[in-house]
Amino acid sequence: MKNINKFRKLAHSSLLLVFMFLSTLVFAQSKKISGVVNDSFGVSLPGVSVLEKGTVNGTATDINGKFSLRVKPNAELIISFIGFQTQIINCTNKININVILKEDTKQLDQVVVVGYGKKDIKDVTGSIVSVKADELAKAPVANFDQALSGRMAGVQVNFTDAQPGEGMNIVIRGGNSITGSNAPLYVVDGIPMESFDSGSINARDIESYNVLKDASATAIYGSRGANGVIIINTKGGVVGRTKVSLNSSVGIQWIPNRLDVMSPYEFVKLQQEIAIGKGGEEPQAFLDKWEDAELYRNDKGTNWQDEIFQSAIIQNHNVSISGGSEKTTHHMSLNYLDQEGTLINTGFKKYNGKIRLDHKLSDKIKTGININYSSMEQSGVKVASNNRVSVLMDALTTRPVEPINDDGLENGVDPDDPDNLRFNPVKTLNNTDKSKQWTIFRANAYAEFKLLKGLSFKATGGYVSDNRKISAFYNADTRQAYKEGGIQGSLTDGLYTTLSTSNTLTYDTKIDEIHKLGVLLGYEYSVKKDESFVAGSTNMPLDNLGVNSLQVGETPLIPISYKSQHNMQSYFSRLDYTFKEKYLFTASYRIDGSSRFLNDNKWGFFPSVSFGWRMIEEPFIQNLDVFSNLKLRAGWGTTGNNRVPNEAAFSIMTATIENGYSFNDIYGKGFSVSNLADENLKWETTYQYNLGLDMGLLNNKLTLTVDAYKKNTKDLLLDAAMAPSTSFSTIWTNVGEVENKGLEFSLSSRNIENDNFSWTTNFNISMNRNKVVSLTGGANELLTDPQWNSKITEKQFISKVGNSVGQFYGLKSDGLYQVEDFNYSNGTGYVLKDGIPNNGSSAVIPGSVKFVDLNNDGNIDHKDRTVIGSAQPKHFGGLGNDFTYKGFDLSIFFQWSYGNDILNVNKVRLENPDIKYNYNYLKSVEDRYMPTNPTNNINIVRGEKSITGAAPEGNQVSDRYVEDGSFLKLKTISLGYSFNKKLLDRTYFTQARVYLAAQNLYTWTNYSGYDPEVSVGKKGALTPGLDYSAYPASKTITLGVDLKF
Amino acid sequence: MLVILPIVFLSCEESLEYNPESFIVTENFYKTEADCQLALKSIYSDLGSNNTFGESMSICWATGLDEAVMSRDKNAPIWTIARNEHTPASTSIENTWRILYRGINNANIFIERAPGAVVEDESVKEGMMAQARFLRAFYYLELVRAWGDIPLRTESVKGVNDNEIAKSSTADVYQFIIDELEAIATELPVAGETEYGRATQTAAYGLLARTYLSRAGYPNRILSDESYQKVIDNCDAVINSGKHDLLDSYKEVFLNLIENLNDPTEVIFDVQFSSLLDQGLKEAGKLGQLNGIENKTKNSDAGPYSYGFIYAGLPLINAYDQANDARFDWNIADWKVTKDKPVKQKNKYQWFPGKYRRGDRVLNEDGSYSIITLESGNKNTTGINFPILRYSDILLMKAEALNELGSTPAAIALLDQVRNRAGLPAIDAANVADKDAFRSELMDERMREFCFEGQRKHDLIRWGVYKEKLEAAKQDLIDAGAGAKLSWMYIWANSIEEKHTVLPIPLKEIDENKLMTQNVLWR
Repeated sequence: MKNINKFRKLAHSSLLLVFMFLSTLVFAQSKKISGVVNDSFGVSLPGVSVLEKGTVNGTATDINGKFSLRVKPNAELIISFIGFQTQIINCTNKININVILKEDTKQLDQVVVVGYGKKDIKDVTGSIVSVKADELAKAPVANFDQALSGRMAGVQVNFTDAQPGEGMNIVIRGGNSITGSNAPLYVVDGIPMESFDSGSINARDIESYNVLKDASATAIYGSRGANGVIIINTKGGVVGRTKVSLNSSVGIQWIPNRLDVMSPYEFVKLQQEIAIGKGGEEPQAFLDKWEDAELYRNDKGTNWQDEIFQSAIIQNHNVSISGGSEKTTHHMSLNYLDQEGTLINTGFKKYNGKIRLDHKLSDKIKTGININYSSMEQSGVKVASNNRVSVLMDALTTRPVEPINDDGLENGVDPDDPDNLRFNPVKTLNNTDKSKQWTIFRANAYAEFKLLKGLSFKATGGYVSDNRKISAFYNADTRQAYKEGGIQGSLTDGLYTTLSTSNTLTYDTKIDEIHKLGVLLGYEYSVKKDESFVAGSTNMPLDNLGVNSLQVGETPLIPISYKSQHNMQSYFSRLDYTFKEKYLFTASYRIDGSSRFLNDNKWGFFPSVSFGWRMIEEPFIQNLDVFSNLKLRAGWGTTGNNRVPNEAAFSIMTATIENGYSFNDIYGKGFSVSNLADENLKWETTYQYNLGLDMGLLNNKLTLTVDAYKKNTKDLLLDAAMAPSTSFSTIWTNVGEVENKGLEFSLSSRNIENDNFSWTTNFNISMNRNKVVSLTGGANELLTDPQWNSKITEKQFISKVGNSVGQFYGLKSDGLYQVEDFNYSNGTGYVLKDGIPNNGSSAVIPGSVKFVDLNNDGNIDHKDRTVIGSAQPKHFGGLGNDFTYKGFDLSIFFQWSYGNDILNVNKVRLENPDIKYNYNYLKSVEDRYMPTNPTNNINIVRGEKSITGAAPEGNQVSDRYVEDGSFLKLKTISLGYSFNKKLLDRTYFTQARVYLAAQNLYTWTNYSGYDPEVSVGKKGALTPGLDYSAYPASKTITLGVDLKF
Repeated sequence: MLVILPIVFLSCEESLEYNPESFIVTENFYKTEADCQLALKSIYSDLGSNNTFGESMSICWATGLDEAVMSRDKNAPIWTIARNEHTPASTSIENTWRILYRGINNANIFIERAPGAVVEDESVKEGMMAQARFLRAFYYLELVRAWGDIPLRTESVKGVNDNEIAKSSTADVYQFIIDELEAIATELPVAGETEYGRATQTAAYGLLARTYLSRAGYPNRILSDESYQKVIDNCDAVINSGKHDLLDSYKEVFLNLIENLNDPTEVIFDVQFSSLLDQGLKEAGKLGQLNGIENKTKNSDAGPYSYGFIYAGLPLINAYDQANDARFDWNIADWKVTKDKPVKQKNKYQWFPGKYRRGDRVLNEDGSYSIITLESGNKNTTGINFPILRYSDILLMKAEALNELGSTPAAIALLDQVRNRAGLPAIDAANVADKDAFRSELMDERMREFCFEGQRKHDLIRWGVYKEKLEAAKQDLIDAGAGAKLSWMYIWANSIEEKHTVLPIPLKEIDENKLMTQNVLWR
């Protein structure tokens, strides 16, 4: 600890290191030229770079946009400024010039953010994809990541489910890790973060959003780059007049579809059928309660989905102020978002505030500070979190109608029945006060020193504090209060802090205009501390005080506290070399040390090399007169992954609330090993090849980027299953290998461009093939239980060597048993004919679920399970068209995924009728098997000898529940109108735009659930594409206004 | 030009050192007596897991027999054995297997590390070592009786390579248990001189008797005669110790367990439960809740709540001399509680086990009944202790061994001790004079004495009458009117095969342990 403190001091002081001054180099000049630079509105532009072409002689405009410079008599001046088109002006015979710079959003694309710096796009040798920040801002979504789906080739961005405030699942070029995290590394304003909350940034503060995909781009982030790197830089101030921009939008969201459940009449008929099936006193009980099914024939009843779904308001307001002088620039912003959930009493709210200041101490020293504060709150029941208790399932299965004679149940729910986990879903939603509050404070400061010509040093220090409070309170009218210990509540407080420093030395030079050389050396250190605390109590006498007074409870929960830490230390270097702007070479090397590993395994080494050939510079290409850009890129590199729990490599002992024993009736704690450690645990390493081609045609009106890659992840950090006789369930160890390979195409076309009308098209498509190469100790397969229902414990997913990770695994359905499958006699009833297998239960009847006996042993059991589908899409992508006509702008964006399956286990509960009373099903169950209706689809409820038709324990999941999850979504559409400048001249505004935007407007799919974009399996990459009780996706339409002055 | 170059490339190798802050690294444990006591307790703790005697083994696995049937048509994983519908994939089987082996692994770690601890009194250390070895032997006996051939792990699991281990033969496992218990018996504490709940010398002798008896019976039949003699020897060690005896009242034995009155006289070893949920601790079991007298009185959070998941079996009910046998009144309740009042159950096949009753009915002056609370833990869990070894078991084990070795008259005397305590006269010796007749009487006597104590299934298998007795029990239900509509009540007897006398090796064990093979009967 002492060392860490010592280091922390040092890290702090390194930011404040005082540096040198360099006397300005003075060049011999022959004539003085002066001028002024304005934008197209006539506003002077300060800070514009003015450079004499072919030299390093240059200056910048002052606060009034003026400059003066001594140049050679026939010099050409390059006038450039970020966000504007560069102009080259011949100064022959001129001593005074007026320059009007035209705004150019395209120019931003010419520079790409790479690790620890920026690069001219033409010098890039790796695979990097960017999204325009203003495109992200167009979508009416709560957090920016929800607008990323389909925007970038090779980047899969999907909902896990649509609960407001939930982050998206982002996977770059297929999942490497099986049980580890596949989330990319985020680098926000230079601070690397493994866990980043997309809500903690205001979408309108993002200046650039770049995704580094291949190893030559990510290897500079070494150990943490294996899943790809997302670099987000936020806006700073711009020298010039202070600009204020305002944005406000208000919209409405709703869940467009309902699952079709049985009507009251159909439901009551089913109750009758069950009563008759059960026999004894049951048929009379039915008559006492319901009287006659016919009475309900025209009853509309209650559609519980309508009761819990609502139309909800989303509003989003932003203000930002930015500007600055030559010495100091500033950017400040505030953002408020309030998203009501489309399930009652759920929602998401956030506040973001940001201040960034950049200051030039001198020509040589630049410093800055960037502070971001976010407060977010996600409220309401977490719909997909629990498996057996689900408010959505309750809504779908609660009886649609009350019986004629009161049976004492509340909406069909018996609060005292120990087996019945259901509860009135409206009450559950209204009386459960759950909230998760994050406050994230993120500050970073830098100082940049120009040491010598081309040589500079930059020190950055960052501090992130992420405070998470989770409160859960169950009022009197909840299932928990009725059945699980009365009115109860708990509070969780977690504090996660990261202190980090990053120091880089860069040197850039040109030799003879032929060789361009860049060198980067760097050092990083970070300390991440986790602390959490949980307290709670149950059996509270009243619910007025909520979680604010846990001491009123009569039964406490044992408090839980946890503290942990992860330290990392890294050295890195990069060399960029360009020969004649034609041949490009980049090599990087990074060494990372992590406290998660022991002894010699602490350090990981991650090299990369890449080459680029700008073929467009070759005469034979130029002579073709076809291409306006042509570049070939090739790279290889390694990256790592250390995302295991901080204690994974330690054999540790602890006491749980179950660990203890009483002697003489006096209780005492027991301590036992809680983690079996593999002391040789080490870095997971990904080896990636990338081959890319950038092509521009028709003066870059049409650009195409193609990338092919292959990456092999070895020494997988696997939470590997242990044999039960070891007593441990898993151990973190390095075993196995996964391969991902794929192709990505991005096409961008400026179809029409003239003064009044423009039309551009962006298209991307990605194909990734994922394959398990090897597994633990030569095992051939890894079976996984997605844990959506603790009573259905079949391993429904398989990761098999040679196949993709996490395929669906189960029995093959063979419809239902029919009368012909049996011999019948009065004494023995239905007996299966020879050669016809039972379904795992020895008792079957016509109408029972039937499976294919794959191994022909006459028995249906686990040996008959097989791969029944895969959640991996064959391809996915996006298509966007942007139009402008005079003041109007229109964007239409489609996203698709093709060839992926969904395991719709909702239907295991909703289309698998059982003999439980008061349980509603999907409408399709109306067409179930009955002796009078010998279908082959939905099983009989119960037949003679009280044999049930449903599948027995262990055999419940079959290919019946696998559905095609392909979809095409009209993801975002926005129509805006910008008022013309002449009109605005009479107002305070320099820009005004009103717009109407919609999200998820229409989905084309064959999927029968609420939405095909879903994956709620509890085991991540091992259990993809599972739909169970997911928060349904909503449609959103918003109306908004953008103002600038 | 002035240049000051920063030196930030400091080497801080040490800054990558981390010591877990919320856990104790295993190497730093087992240093003191306190450490060892904490570690020892966790070995005991696995006795009371839901997957062992908290719920699975004590209640669910002891159902679907002639002495107990389920009262619900409920196919939940934990009840799958009670329905004889289990398969190698059944999670309940895997969970129990894992927890039994957890006790073994914790004991192995203890046995490896505790000798290095600094303990002032060497005999205390020896006593702790002996308890760890006792518990390991105990867990192995549960495993071998249920599964047959099993992996014999005598060293702690160190890493992923320890997944692979082949099965040891049933004979070898029995021999290991016997060797261990014989080696440590005298090093254990003495009953009455140590805390109630700890393994004692007499518990080791009792367990040895049980081990030998089990080894002598079906399907093992290993060195039967020699084993029966050892049963007698070890029972004698308990009887002659002077530490144990029968209590005068059968009912009192269980009231002691229900009310946690720590009396070691009759109960030689038990699993301790404490109802501590109100302190946030999970140390309670489900005895008397799942297998109690049904009482679903609304919203009573504490008190004699019970789901009444179990009905007493008809063969059990019929085996009693209902008028004279004190055990009948205690073990069987022909009533349940509705709205705080006892209500008589209509059908005989719907009577409840009364052994672990959380509440009892008392006769009021006006002739009505009211309910009193004996155990008021939590609604869903109880602090009732589960008896593993009782003195009457010592007597009947010895009687059985004597009978098998031909000393039937001596056996009858022991049987009568148990009968007399239950308020019954000595048995008519003429009716049980020969070996087979005595054995048949003993079968019923053990059921009357030990019903709902998790012994029946082992006994039936040991005697080779599992299928026969279950099919008879099914016929009893059918004859009593539990006809086709209630056929789920005897679903466990529908298709009994030889394989049902042994559990399948969990599928997961076969998946992960390359040297493991499935039980022959389950292939």
